[in-house]
Amino acid sequence: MIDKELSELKNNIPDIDIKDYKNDVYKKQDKKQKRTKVMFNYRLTLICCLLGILTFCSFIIFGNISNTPNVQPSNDNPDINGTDDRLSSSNDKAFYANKFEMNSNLDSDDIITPYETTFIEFDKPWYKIKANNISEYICLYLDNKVYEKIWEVVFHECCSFYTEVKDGKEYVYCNFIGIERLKVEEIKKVDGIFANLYFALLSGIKTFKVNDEYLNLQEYLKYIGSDIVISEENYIVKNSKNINDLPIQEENYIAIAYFYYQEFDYLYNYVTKEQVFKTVPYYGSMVACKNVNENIYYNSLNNSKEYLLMDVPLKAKGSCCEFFENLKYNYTGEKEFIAFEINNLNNSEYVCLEENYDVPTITLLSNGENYDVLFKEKVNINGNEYYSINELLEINKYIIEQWKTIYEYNVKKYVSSLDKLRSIVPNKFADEFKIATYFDSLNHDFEIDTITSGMVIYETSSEVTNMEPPSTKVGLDYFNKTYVIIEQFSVCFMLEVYGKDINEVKDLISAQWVNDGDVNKLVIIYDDSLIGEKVTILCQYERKIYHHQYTSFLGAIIDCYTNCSLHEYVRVNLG
Amino acid sequence: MKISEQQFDYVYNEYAKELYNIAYGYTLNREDSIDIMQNAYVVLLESNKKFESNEHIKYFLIRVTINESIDLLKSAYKKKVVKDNDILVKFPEIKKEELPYDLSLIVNNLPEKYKTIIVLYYYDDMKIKDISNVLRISESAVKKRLERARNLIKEIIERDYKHD
Repeated sequence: MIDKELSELKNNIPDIDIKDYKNDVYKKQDKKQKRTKVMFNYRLTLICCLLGILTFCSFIIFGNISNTPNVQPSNDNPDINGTDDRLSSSNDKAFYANKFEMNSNLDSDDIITPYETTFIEFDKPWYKIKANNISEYICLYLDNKVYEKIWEVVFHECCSFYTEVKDGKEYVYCNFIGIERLKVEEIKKVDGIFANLYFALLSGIKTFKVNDEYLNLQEYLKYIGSDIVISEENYIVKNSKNINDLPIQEENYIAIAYFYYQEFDYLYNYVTKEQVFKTVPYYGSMVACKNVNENIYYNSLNNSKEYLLMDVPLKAKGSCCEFFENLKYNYTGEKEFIAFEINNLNNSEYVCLEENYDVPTITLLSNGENYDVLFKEKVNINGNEYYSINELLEINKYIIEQWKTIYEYNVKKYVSSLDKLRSIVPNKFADEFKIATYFDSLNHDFEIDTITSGMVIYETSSEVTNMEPPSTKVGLDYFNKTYVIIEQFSVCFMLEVYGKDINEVKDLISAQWVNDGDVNKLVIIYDDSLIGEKVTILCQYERKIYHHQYTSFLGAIIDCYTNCSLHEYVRVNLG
Repeated sequence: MKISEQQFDYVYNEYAKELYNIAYGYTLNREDSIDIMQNAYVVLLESNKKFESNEHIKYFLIRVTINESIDLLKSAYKKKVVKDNDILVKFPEIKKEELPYDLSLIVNNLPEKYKTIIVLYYYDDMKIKDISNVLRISESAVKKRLERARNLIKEIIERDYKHD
């Protein structure tokens, strides 16, 4: 029935004679080329004029100053130099005042109404961030093959960590700071709040509207029951009750909101007290897939339980999941589940993966008492009961929508806050990573220093190229160049080009992107072409892409603009 | 490598209508669709990509058309779409379930990946294999998405409209 109706849709298309519009294609092309040229000339002229004016001003200011000693003092006109000084000073002030005004506009503490929507539902304190405890370090054994993947996980989970090599093996000690073991019944609220909080920190928003009352961030945190303390100066976020327990103070920036919204579902890692200890968000790529049985375990030092750390490509279940022993898989009518029983556990624990959604989430379930609250829908597979994560995903969707709104509203503010953010983040993490190999491998004439400091590159294993979806993790711009975009399922980068025409840059990027052959649109979500001579554009792709596509795309961009800064950051995919 | 005029003539005559149909599936607007179709060809003319075959060009054009369409729909002035609700506001005595459903609007409001499949399959009569090539996903994935898209449409109709 539906099929038939759909088939008839094309009958509604108004008929046209295609030939009538052919010449317009050439006209459009001409127009586009002219526009690009005109814009380029316009900008060139503008820059020349500005340079001229600046030169002229400099000449007047410095010319007079340098001439001052040669000017004979004149009683008739004693203030002549003073006048010149005032002129110079006022010019400078005007110049800087303009700049300041521009920036301060971007940084203004506007009231962000979307918060209100999110917040109103939560009318009382509802969660606690418990004291951090050093004894809660977990230890990760890193296998070389999955090293980078693990790093990714570590950073998603930890605010602080350190590494140690022992007996030829490298261990990462990871400290789960702050956000631990939130109660299941609170998870809904947590999502919204954390999303807000992270974004607030990212964007420098300091004012929240709550029930017609304006609160600053600290008040807001207090209102929601958090014991986080924020230093206005540098955004350091500390746990006030156990501040001395924190091993390295400066690492306790609230992850510079690194756990930004895009990864908000990592919060689900903490949905129960101990059973649902770990959730690995679905990343699409699964370098670790084949190795999962052999290598990727982690142990909690507290209770020696073993948990399977896994990241299973949904669509690769046929090829990938067969590597798991005791695979339980069934197709139960409307819903499709994959469940893995993890060996060597005292209690049965399963990973359930529900495929009916675009945002699959893998959740370790157990016989815990709490998840009934969250996972209401039970499905019987081979006599075992599993729980749907529908609700969880609905929350996901809701939050994404919220976030998009906030993001769109704040994009300028957000970008402007990056410099501030960058200035307060320690650079020392950068050394921990393999830096610059990515662009080296591209063999491009590119100034590594300007772009890759702190950048972590994740390479995709060729072993998984046949999998769907493919890897999309291509780069991560770390702390000192923290360009974090809150768009789930996106690959983002920021390109700064000096002295170029914004339209030229946009056209080039769009063209390259199209050339790269993906159906997913590159969206230019921000440009500050009006601000100055630097063209900054922020792009996102709306879907997973193949690593080689992305590489080639960026390569093409770099080819065209060697004098640019390219900041990649997160990837993501989930499609 | 720019394509020759002769080659352009060929690919225009062969594929322009298809591109127009696809764009229409997205925009439901004749003028916009023509515009998008033309833009796709402008991109082709300016492209330095080396095409292996006319089919390759076709896939390229389709991708560009899809991208352009999505872009247009996301642009600010296109955000306002007339929906059933507008009618309901004007005529409060009418109940939503009494309205006939507009399948094209329902398709238009589907998530992009489903909309793309539906548009390519139904508006352009593309084969699964071709869709698979255009979208660079497996044929089984295309089938699955298609099925899900149909199910989704069914759900929407059953939920929002009372029709036998």
